[in-house]
Amino acid sequence: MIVSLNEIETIVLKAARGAGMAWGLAEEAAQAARWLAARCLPFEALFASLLESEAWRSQVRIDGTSLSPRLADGWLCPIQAGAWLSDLGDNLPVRIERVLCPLLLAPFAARRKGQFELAWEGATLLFDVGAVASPPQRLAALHIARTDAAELKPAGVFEARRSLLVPNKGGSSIDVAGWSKLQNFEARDYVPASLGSRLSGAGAALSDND
Amino acid sequence: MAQAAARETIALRPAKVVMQLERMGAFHQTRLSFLRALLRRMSARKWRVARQRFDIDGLGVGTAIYSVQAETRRYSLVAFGHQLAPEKRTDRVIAEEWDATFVLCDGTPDELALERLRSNVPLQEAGRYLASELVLARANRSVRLFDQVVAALAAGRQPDAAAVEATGYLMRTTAVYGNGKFGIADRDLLKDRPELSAPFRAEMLIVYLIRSFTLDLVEHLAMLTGGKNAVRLDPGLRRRFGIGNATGLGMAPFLVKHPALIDRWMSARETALARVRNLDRADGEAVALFRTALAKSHRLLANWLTDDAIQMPRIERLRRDLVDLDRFAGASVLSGDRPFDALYRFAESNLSLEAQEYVVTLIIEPHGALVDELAEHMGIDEATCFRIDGSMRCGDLKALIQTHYDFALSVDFEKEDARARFWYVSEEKLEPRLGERFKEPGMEREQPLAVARDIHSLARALDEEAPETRLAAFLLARPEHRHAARRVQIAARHPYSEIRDNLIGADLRPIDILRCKLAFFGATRFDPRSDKWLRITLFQGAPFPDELQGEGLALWAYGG
Repeated sequence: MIVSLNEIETIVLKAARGAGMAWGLAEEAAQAARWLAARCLPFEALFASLLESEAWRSQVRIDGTSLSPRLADGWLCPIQAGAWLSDLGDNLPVRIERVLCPLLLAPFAARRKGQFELAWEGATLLFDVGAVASPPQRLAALHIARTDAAELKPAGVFEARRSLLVPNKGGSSIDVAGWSKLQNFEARDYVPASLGSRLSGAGAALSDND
Repeated sequence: MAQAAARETIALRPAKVVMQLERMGAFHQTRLSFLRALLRRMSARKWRVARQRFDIDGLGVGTAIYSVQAETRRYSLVAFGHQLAPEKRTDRVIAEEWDATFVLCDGTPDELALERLRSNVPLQEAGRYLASELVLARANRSVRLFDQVVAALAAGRQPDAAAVEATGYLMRTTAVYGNGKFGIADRDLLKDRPELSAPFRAEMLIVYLIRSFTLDLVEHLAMLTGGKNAVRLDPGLRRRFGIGNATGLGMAPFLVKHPALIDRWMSARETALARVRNLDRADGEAVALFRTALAKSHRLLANWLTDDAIQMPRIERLRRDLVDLDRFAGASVLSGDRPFDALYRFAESNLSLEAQEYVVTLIIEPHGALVDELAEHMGIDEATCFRIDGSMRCGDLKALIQTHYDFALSVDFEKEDARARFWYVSEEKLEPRLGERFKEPGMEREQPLAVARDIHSLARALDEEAPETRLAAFLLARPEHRHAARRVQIAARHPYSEIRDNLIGADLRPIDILRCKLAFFGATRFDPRSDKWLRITLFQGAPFPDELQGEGLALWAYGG
């Protein structure tokens, strides 16, 4: 199925909220999904697994510009960590330990000014005034499910950059399995109709035929 | 030194005056309204509209295509006519069939694309679309007037003008979907197209084209029925047909979810008003236009009727108020100092809110050269307002709340009346609804539209925080306040971003939110059918595409 960026933003907003994220974080998740989809990067499986994890409920510890889960075996939510990363301003370096789906940090990193890189085990992304590039690397490392540490630091020198900017020309072909998981989370936002709500909720009880 | 040079500039009306729902619910169309800005652009840039195809049978079933050459790009309206059983004709969004369904698309659809559209557009939200489709809409006939007009034309006579005026349209749209719904083009795809980048421009365009279709349709059906006896509509009477629209709660959350955008709309309107009020003198042409618009308004308002027990007395008061305005606006006022400010101040001190806002409309009207460019700045890239400044200290955020949210801090949310309602999305139709918190299930699934309550709660949480704590750390620990904190930072830069009322209070009238948005669209003849939905008319009196180059563009919105 081909979907629009607005549909992606909307389903992730509702699914994140349906899964129990605070509204403000769900808004961040929605913008992050839109950012990825606008660059033709996959988002649906990442979000489906993140929402299943409920990692945003983890207790976190801040140490300067470093963030880690309070429990040694805990994992951080990349939306929660990403929002913090965005809130911090443009300070470097930033270290985020034990984080799920580190690619979901990229949309937040991209809001920062200047030139820097975001790296985790096996993957590096270069940010340069809004543009994003990566050296040739295994795609699997980009979509890794978790990493011990993701770091934001001054940019190193890349040979042979590959732009991650494949502009979305309108419509993203989505993975139906991931999308339907998101739909299941989304459904938790909706209120089933009752007879009373049908009459009062939308306020229409007059005839429409004239 | 001349005294005039030293005097103060009249400032924009403050948000605490403008952003009250009671006042927003009294707004009228102005020359900045979106459909009027569309027609000005179509006229200035010489857009060409042509009927490319009209294969419709005697029952109204078939396909029609209209093309629009809009500057460098071409668009098409594809219309499908259907046969609809009377019991299925409903304005509510729960409908599944309509008299006609429409899509506005890029370019000219070929046969293959047309087949795809034919198997999806009649299904509306149950269909799927591509980014080459921009807006989706459907409409139902106003049965009584539609049949009456066809019968009259078929018999060789013009329909009864009073009946035309009483209804004002042949068809009523019941939903107009843009911005990426069901796979159609995301707004981002239009933002670099100058002809369609203004807010709701593509939506206004489809509605305008649908209006032409409805008039072509009645003339066509009359021809099929009456043969050589049939006549076409008299051009003057033809213009008195607008297009109807029925709108419910579905559009209410928009104004709350897009604070920075609403600020642009309001700022444009308030800036226009302030520019006009600051004029030292009225020129003769402006005075003449103002007087004509006011004179026409008496007749226009005589035709604004509703069964609504609250709105009808307001309309009657508005009619009387305009008589008072007429009396006040004598030669001495209009040839005096700051004449339009004098009119505004008279209205503010003596007239109802409906009339005060009507005066805003009337005094802006003659000043196109002064204000029309504001209509080009009513959009905003909201992504630029999204990022929270986490380096702000909690004490500073609290101060911003005290400055901008007194309306929220003054509410006692311990009282049930203050949180009697909740906004939710219905599982049945995925549409926004307003529930009774203490009577209906579902409040745990509340939508984030309870701005005043959430800001109130953020303020309390900030009370417990050290003032020097950075927001980044506070929000990491208290993510439940993140959406409210974002709003506060937006409000600090966008004075008209917040509706200054409690949107979950027992006394909320959601229709005020709808009315405000519809006035920005350019709607007229607001006809509330409850406090949650209403009917309106769009484009009534407007020139048709082939009349846009003529003399008729001025004051068309004030009736014939």
